[in-house]
Amino acid sequence: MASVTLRRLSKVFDGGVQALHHLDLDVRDGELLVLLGPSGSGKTTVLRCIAGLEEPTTGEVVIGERVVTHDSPAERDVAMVFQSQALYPYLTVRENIAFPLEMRGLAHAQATRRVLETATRLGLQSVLDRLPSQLSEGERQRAALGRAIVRGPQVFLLDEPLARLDAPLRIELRAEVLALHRAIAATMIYVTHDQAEAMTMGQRIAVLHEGRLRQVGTPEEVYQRPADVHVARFFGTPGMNVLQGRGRAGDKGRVIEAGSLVIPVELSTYEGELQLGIRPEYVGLCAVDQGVGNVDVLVVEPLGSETLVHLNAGGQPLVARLPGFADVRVGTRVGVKVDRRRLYLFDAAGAPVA
Amino acid sequence: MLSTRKLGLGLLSVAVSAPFLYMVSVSLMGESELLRWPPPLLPQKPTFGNYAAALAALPYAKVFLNTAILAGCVMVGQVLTSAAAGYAFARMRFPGRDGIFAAFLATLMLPAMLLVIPRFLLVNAVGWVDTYPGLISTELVSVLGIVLMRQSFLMLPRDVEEAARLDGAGEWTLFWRVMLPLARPAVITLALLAFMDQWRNFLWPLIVTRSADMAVAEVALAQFHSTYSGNWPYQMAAAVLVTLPVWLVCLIGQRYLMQGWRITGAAVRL
Repeated sequence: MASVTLRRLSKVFDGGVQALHHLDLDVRDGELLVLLGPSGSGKTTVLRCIAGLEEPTTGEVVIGERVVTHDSPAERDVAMVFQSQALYPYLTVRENIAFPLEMRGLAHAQATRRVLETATRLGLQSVLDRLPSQLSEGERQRAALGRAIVRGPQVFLLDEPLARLDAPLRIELRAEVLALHRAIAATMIYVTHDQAEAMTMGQRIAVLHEGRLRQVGTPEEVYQRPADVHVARFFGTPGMNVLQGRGRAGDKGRVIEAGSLVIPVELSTYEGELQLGIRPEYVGLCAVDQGVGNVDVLVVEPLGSETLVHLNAGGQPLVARLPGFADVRVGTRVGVKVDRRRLYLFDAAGAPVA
Repeated sequence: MLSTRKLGLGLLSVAVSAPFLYMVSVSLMGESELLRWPPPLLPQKPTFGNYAAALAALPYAKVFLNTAILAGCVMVGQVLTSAAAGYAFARMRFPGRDGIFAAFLATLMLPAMLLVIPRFLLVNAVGWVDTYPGLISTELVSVLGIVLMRQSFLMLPRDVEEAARLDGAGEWTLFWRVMLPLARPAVITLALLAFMDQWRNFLWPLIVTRSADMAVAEVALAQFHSTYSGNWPYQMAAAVLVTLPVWLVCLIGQRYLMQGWRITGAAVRL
């Protein structure tokens, strides 16, 4: 196993599109790091640069102690699981899993043993002689995992491996990948666009947005202390409310005006354009004129354990998450309470304001 | 709209198949039957006598063997050269790649007839006239085959190739063990097209071979024609026998042939 270090990694594609901007990232030995970002954020490009399938325009890729920036994929000793699985369609599961061993010239008896071990670990013993087309989606993804782990590489790269699976299977395989990570104590870099998957899987999460690394931290850190407004919006279902507002000195101290809300804040110096972030769970409803402002109820989504209420706060959308079934009617006007200790303030560019 | 199209296609297929059907019909007639006016469409008393006679008159075993050697060698050769070149043009980076490919494409605009003399001079210079190497060697590379294979390699997903690279496959393993099996439908298509083309090859074998021992199907048929110029049923029986393998290949490989035309169609649009 080995650590992976990216130093000032940039990638500009032939058409002039800059996919990555000076990325610095340290993945520790044995860690499961999730690379999270919306589609087009550059996360797959990062993975491909580490794998050697893409050459960075500038910067370095270091695996363990070795600079591998210009090495071929085979020389790097990394394995990758593709979203499309990329199994060899005309080879059986057994031959698919054996292929990387064969390429490395492992003796036949030893290879056979390793293939069997791997298949047993992944529950593939009964389908070893089938072709990929004869497998279920879950078995195919397991076979792809098997081909990756069989030769015990230094680093595993997983590119949205579960994105194609339906929800129950995804949850099942998610647990299996975690168990696998514990069992082989491998360094894993796991790419996903699903923040829930990132939260449940990652020891640390690296958040990418438009080719820039916005934050690296534990799930708790990125949720509780987002480094900027993009990260804040990205986590949670639904994500953080972000209202466009203005700081100003009012009669009763400083306030932020955002849409129809006027929220008192303890902010010493800042005046002007602000973005006000608040998670839906810290937005409450009350009688008209009793809160920090009045809003119109647009949509009510009862989900059983909670109810999501979509509100219009003077032209700005706001979502409240209320426990259980809330007695709220669409089309009515209600007051809003916010937990002032749970407010996040960002400047107009999206950087946090202390 | 649809029915007009169907009618058009129906008429076309009748126009295309009528001569073949008439060839079979005539091959089953007696010699004198065709002398009547108007000539009959169907035999009055179908007979297989012509076939027996045609088989006796032509050295069929030798002719079929020659044609099979030509078609078989060219088929294998064109598949290998086209696959290798197509792969290089599709997936490898080297200076001048696209320029060279354009030059290859440009040769498709030259009439094949134009090349017959230079080819003969080359073959003659190495002393291969009237031999199998002379017959086969200059047919081993097909630009159309290269275009077909390049296009089918271009259409393959990158994932599997990249997975193989990560697994440690070198360039040759990648080509031979991963990409070529993935391109199998195109390989089969190309093999069928090459086989059929060579089975029907007339001009080149006519020029490069001399002895009756080296005659291929089309050449033998032409000689048969000049020998029995008046006897149409006789000639048609020989023609049916000679074209039989092509018919069979067409019937069995229909799916792949259609696909081949679709792929090259896409390739020409680039």
